[in-house]
Amino acid sequence: MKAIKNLRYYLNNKTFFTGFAIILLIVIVGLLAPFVANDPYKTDMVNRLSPPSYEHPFGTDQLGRDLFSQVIYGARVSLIVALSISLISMILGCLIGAISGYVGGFVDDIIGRIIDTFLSIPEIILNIAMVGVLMVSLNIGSSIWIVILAVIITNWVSYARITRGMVLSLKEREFVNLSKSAGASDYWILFKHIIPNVVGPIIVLATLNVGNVIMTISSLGFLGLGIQPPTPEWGAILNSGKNYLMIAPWIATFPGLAIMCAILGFNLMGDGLRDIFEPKSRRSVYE
Amino acid sequence: MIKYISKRIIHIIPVLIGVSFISFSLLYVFPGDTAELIVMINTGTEPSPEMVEKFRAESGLDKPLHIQYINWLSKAIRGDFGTSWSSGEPVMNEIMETLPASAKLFFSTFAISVGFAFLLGILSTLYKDKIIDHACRIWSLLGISIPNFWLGLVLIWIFAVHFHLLPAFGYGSMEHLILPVLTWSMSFMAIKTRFIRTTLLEIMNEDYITTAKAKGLSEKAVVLKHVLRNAMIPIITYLALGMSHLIIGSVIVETVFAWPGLGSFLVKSVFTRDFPVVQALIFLSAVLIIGVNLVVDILYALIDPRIRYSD
Amino acid sequence: MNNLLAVNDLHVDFLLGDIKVKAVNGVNLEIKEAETLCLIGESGSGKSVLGLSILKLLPSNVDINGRILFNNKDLLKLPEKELRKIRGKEIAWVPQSPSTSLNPVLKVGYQVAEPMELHLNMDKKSAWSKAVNLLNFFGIHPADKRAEEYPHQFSGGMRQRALVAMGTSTKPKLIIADEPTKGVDLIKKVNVVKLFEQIKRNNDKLSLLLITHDIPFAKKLADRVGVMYCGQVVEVSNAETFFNEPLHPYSKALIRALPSRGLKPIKGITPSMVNPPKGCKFHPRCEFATEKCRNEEPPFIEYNGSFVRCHLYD
Repeated sequence: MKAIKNLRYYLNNKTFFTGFAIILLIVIVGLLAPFVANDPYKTDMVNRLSPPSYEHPFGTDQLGRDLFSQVIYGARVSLIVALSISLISMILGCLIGAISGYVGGFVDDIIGRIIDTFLSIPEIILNIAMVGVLMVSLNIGSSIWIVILAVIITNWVSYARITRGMVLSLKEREFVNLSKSAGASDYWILFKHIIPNVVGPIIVLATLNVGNVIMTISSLGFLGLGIQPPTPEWGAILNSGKNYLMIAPWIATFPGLAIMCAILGFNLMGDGLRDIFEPKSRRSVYE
Repeated sequence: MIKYISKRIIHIIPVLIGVSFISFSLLYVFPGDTAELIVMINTGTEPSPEMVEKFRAESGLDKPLHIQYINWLSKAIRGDFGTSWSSGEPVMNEIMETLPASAKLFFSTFAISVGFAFLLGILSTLYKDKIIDHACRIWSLLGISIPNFWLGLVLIWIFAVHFHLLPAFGYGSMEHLILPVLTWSMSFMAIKTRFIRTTLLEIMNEDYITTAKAKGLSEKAVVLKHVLRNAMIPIITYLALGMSHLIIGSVIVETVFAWPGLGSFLVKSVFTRDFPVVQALIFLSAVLIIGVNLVVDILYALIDPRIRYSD
Repeated sequence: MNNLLAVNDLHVDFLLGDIKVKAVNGVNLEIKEAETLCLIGESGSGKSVLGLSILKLLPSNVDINGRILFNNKDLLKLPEKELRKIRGKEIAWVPQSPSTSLNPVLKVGYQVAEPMELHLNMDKKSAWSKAVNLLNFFGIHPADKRAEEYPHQFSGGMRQRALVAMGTSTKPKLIIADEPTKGVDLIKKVNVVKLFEQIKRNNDKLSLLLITHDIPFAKKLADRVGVMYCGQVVEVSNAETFFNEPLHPYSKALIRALPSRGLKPIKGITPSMVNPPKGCKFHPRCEFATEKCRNEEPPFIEYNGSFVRCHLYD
């Protein structure tokens, strides 16, 4: 727990720091969007498909919209959507996993099977199917809410699986038994013993998960099943860029670069955090 | 060992049932009337109550839910997933026709990725902390961060548009295979290399490796004779689990390169609201993954003498 | 008697981030031909590190300085290719922790045969049958069936004997055994003693370096005894001297701490290897400590046929 409070520790870790810097940059750019970028929705058919220039640093798309603005505003979209999805899945998944692991018995058997079932279906197929189901039941095309809901349904499982696994093994550890024999209540054990041990790996998972979710929502966007244009979403922009690859390759270049940077940033942060929270135990040779 | 295998088989039965249930219930989680929805989709118009009732009786949607589930399941086990709403053909036929294309892509990619991942992983371990190790690690990190679809487009632009070396889209010849396999391999390989390297390094730290070195074995002999065999166990498990990753890539890569495989079939079916196909693909992909995991578990038991010769 | 192995002013530092652990802090030690030298010390005194450094089996984050002479060659300066010819052939290593020191996925017979295949130019079949003979010699029956088994099917004692068989297979000149009685019940320790007596009987020209913290065990087997404290050798005496009239105050304290001699504990705590005490490393816990001991590190000198590092004998 001390590691969480020692800020310098984080900044010293090169991997974490690089990732954090990248994400911070993206966040700042996203926040400053109204000041640095123009209107991403404004079409300008005269200047459609024009290459990068001073007025349009990333060029324009097939409707003349400024790509630079689209990418900048797209950062907002991706980050906000990804963070909300991760947060809600985390709360949902960790709660279910922890309860399942701690209560054990029949409840755990059932929830464990449910988790296994979800894990057997490849993530993207499930995501696509969920989007499809939601589109049909609400009788609309895909939208930001459909994406959020669909991905949450698929995503909570990763958190649940890890939490459940950790709680199950922690439950058997000696310090828990000791606590129990000293008369501690279940709540006490849960909050004082189990949760502090679980927090570290969950934070690592959550950080890496945001990167995954960004990949998922942009993949859905690319397939045309995600957040729809004109809302600027990186994957969706790539989808339209695909058709103009020969004459306007810049449409496909920059959003993809942005996706890669964002995911790289979160992966680096996650790796760095993993080193901090789960240091590899050094073999002591000298006895 | 027989006990171990039978335990595994018993474990997956509820999971299979769960998966079938999810696939089946896709059509029923909607608010609103399913029959009405289906007719609306199929005919494209607002259906009249008579049409809906007729359809309901014909397709068995008037029976209680659990009877419908059992009907669906009993047909599914025999491979009958009904007929496609868009083409009218039996779903299974369409899947079988599309399968070879996906299989071609999948096996080529798997072979190349795994081969390279092993090579890079072993090199990385033998030359730890030297340049080649750092290069491999950076490559791995980039590989898991690059979106497949973007990489595909970049490669298309370089090889097809700019240099006119390879075809951009389509299916048919070896040349059509190169770019999709290249794209798909890069990200898959990156993930696996990281894991192989980590596993090999962990094993290098074990006591019995010191014993092996103390016997005078060279570094290469230690890695090849002692480390690899131990590493196979977690690595094979991981590669099998990676099937899931592979299938993820397949949907994207097939879409980018217009490769007529099961991935693009799925996407098309979602767009056309062709639910029998979607149900079938979900169910079959899950069965595939469960099956592969089971095979891996058995393989695991065969390779690890601690399980093979246990009481 | 000639010196088989001579360690000169050995320093081994472990580099952990910005911390330097001085595991071996200036050691001089000689092992003669056909003798059994027991290296005694507490956990953390550096004796295992010393053993490992003879064969350069330490991890990569170490700094080794000094000389280790064997057959007129400095082992620390030998190229890896030459060193590999010595490892397992001239100098053999018998590790502690039999449970983790054998490869779990290879047959025991193969692992015992491996050094013979490697160094004695034997083909697989002859090496295997020799391995079976060795297992049989060390009391693992039925040897031919057991050789086909895997380590997890052996008991702890059997694994240790397999490790010993592995180490003696090439008839090395020196065997370094690391903590052979670690984790062994009192009752079973007798078997370990018998095992090493058997090794010595089988090869009377063999030198043994037994690294241990188990003093009664050392008493049964030692010709000479070396004592390590805080990374240094503080006394080397022949067995009779050591067990009856040890020289160094630490040795005296060790003997007094034995159950048979009164179980008197040694006062003070184990010193840090990162910041060892100034002057004589033992002075904070020594009943004879003087001002000189606090300031000046005592030299390693000869005294009445023994070697000792203490101002009392200056």
